[in-house]
Amino acid sequence: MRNDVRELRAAKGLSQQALGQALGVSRQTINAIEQGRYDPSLPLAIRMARYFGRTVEEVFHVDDERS
Amino acid sequence: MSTMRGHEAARTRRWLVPGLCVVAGAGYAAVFLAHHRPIAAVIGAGVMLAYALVLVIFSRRSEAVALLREDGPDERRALITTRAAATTLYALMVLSVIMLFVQLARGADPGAWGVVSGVGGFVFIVSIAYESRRR
Repeated sequence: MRNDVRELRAAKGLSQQALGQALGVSRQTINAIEQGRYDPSLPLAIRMARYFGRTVEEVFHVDDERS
Repeated sequence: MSTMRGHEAARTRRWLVPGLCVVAGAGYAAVFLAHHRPIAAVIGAGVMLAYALVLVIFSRRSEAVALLREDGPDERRALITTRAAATTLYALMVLSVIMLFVQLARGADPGAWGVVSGVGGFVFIVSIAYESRRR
């Protein structure tokens, strides 16, 4: 699943470590999500979206979605 | 208060596996020494202590080592640990069933292989039934 986590994190000037600490996950998990290697659970996706002041759909995009 | 408890729990988790390694090393040493095998006692304890040291020293540098030390509250790490455990158990069950048939083909008593295969199969069926009702 594609996502805009890297861009949103960069816009806030946060490191992966800092975002991971804020969300209660490891730096490696943030990296895996940004690279699309790991799809977060629904609770974590919601926490991430709320952290950036967005909806889940604005942060995460299913692969067959046409924009 | 709850944050402090959280920190204490995290510290306990971090030292649980290295601590168990030290206890296991002491156990190996005690058992081998009781059987008058001092070299095996030193090797057994040494291997477990070395493993504990590797976990403590390299867990900050390698995620794989960190996962061997603790899984923690991170959902991705919990998933990795669960999958690794499932793969390990599948491998053990396949080995157990193969050895069971080998023993039966030889006309020998399957012994522990039969017990492990039977218990493994039973626990798998019960787990499937339990999890399918729970989730």
